[in-house]
Amino acid sequence: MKFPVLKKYRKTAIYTQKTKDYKDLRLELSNFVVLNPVMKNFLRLFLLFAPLLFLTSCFDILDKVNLKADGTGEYTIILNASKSKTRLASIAKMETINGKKVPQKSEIENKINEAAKIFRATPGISNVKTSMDFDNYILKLSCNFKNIENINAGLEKLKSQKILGKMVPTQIYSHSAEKKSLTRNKVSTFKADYDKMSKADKEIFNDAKYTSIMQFENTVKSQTNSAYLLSPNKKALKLDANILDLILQKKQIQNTILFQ
Amino acid sequence: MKSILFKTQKIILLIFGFTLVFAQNSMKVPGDAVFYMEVNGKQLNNKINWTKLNPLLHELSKKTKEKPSWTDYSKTGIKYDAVQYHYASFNDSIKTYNTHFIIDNKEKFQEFVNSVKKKGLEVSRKSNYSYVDINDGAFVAWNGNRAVLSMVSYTKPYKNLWNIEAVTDSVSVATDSADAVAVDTVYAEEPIKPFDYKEEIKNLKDDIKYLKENIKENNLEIAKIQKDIKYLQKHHKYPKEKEEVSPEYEAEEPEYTDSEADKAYQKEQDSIRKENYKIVKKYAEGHFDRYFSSNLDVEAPKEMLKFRDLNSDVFVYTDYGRIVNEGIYGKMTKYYTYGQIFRNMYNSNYSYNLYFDKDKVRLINNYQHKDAEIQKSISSVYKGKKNKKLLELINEKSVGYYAMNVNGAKCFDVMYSLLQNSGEHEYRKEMELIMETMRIVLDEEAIAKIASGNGIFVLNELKSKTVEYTDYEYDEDFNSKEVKKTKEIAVPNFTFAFATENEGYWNRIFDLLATNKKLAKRFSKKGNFYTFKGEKNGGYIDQLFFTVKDGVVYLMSSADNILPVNQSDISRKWAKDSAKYPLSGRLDIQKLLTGLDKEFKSPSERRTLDAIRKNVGELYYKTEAKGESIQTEMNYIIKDSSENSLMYFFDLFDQIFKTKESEKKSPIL
Repeated sequence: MKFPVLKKYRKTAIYTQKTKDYKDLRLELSNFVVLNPVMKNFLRLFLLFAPLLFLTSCFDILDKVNLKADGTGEYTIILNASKSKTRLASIAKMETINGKKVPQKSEIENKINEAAKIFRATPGISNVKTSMDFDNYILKLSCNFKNIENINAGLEKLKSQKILGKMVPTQIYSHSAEKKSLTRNKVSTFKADYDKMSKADKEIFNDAKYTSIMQFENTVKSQTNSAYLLSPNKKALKLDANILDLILQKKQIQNTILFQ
Repeated sequence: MKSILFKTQKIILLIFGFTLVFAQNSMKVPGDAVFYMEVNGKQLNNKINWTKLNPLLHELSKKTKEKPSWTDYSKTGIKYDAVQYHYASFNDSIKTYNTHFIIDNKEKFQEFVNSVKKKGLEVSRKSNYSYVDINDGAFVAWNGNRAVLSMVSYTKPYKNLWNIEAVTDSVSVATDSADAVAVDTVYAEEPIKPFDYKEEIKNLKDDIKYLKENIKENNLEIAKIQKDIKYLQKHHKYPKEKEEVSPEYEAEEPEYTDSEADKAYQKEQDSIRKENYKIVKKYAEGHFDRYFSSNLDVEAPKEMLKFRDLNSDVFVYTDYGRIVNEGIYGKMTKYYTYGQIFRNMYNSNYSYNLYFDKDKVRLINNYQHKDAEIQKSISSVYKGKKNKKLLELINEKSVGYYAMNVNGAKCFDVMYSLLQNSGEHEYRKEMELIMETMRIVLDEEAIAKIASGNGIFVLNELKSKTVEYTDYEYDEDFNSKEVKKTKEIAVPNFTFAFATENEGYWNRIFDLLATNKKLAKRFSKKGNFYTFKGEKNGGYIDQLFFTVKDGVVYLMSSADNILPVNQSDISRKWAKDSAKYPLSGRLDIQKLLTGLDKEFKSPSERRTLDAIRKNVGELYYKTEAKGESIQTEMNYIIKDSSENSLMYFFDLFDQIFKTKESEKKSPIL
């Protein structure tokens, strides 16, 4: 009796063995330089040049929450790649970049519309609006929520539908009216995923920035993360960070805000 | 007297005979080696300044996770001022890379080997050499004054992957015949059975069962989605319990973990690894035996050394034809009906001579097609005429240029010679007919008149362009506001021009583009120029200018580029030089980096850029048909700051490395 699982395994075994052999060869070729330290280090030195070969694109993410005293509010997320629009306009004319397919304008529109549709179907979320400015490469999504945890649920759905990557955190906010608190949850590290990326893909994050704005109807009594700037009227918080610092957890995003 | 003479003659013959019998032969580089390299250690060693290089190498080895195993790389026991030989070959199952070098301090070398070898592995002693496995599949062997590094990788050929014929493992051919018996029995457990239709039916039934399982899974998923659609149509939302989707999927995974199949698979892999290791070890031993019983000289076939220059620092030969045609692509093209065309195309070899001169690095490459007839037609393409009008565009103030003076009409001959003999057996007649039809349909002369083979691309400069972008600013209550800002970017100012003997043809094309309803919005005519306007914010080039003048078609980023510029003496000299070669070019990297200055913004990028810009040189390139090959010479002209071009690179890398290191050490604010 042959089991399909075993059959699958047999195929995998052949494939793995082949892949292993290529890996072996690569390993051995790198071993070849063991006795050739000059060559080994020459190659390593050459890699130092690499950052200059990639002229990076930069983008900003703006994440805005406006929370009312009754727990309802408005959420907006903006992806602004306007600073790199000349480069993006050139990339948009290409088929692939760094070995990956360049998405067409229509594909991006479909994804955003699909995301908006999923958001609209999420309980507690209403007034979902999208805007796509392909001249300036600015994408916006905004909505109203009954309570802020609805956003977590919406993001979770986007992730399960593979619209958001598995790296994107979803359980971001928790609000307690009784405790008069809003918690911005800790985001688990993406370092492992980032390390797996190719050099060229990593470069994308080099100048990328993240801004989080939280505005409240109530006055802020205290907060646990001093990286967030408190506005003079004590009704808004702002965090500016390099996305790379967040990925590598050099800067923390979590914060617990207590209201008066 | 006669007997004395006879005896003397007999003794001489015997001695001579013995000499002939016992004379050791040199170690021959296999004729099917795809890569051969000679490193002229004597010359290179004189160019390396170890006192400068050692600290740098040491710094770099500190960065690896392992502890630095060696402190002075100039004293490894390897005789650096002797020639090193490298060669690689492969067949359907074995890939090898061998390096032969001389050692001048056996003890030191042994110490060095001990520092790099895998822990716990012992040195094996043979009658005339010792060897050790320094890492999986990498072996090093040595005697008093010679050493060999041999890297071997073995892949058992699998049937049905590409090859439908019975699998023959070339290991038996490649290894010593005595060893081969031991080697091949390793895989004797999989004998090729005669075709059994009953078993095949059973297998096919299994396949159906497996596919049906998939159908079941897909049908379940479809039913689930249909249910969701109906629910959404009725309630306009998902049922509550459906919101947590992910745990369901996660629960499916453990099916495969820790199963019997997994263990069996692991066991199978372990045994494959073990057997593979036995094979590669046997193979490496065979290689060492052959080498250490030879006269220890390495001799490459004449064909590989055809373009070797004994004065070069490094010489490399690659059998491009074999690498492509015998590699995976070759297996692919074998099964295409007209795959032979590609096999014909790749069937060539490349030789490289590298020189680290005082003021420049020089790389001379010789390309040669293995088929003399095809090579002849390729060479004929590289015999074009010069075009004065185009050469006038060469200017020393530009960032760089790439000029072409080939014989366009001869390209057809190359195409025909590639098609010739590319149809195997049953397709021969078809191929001949295709060629004949092409000859009738294509009017080679008329086509060559449209673009005769003279062209030039000049990167005049990198200009700064102000572009607007949108950013967000915040008031004191952190209310965001969209604001327009500007920034400078580098855009190329270039000219591309090519000669034509049929101006009317190009004018008709441009006229058509300018009058076509769809294209006229972007493509228009203003005076003598046709202009193409890109999309709003359409990238680096806003407008392109086209014109045809004095037998030259111009495509430019600025209409001014066509205006005549007085050539300086240097520019004229460059133009004269360019006229001599079918392909030639220059690139002033310093000018290029100055133009790109605005693209480097972060302090780290700027520091690295400054370090490079200070020392970066100029590239010069030329190609011509020489002898029975196409020769390309590439020169990288360095700045005078270093003792020679080899140390120039180390100096440059050292500077960049130090810049990077100092950045890491500086405190994060």
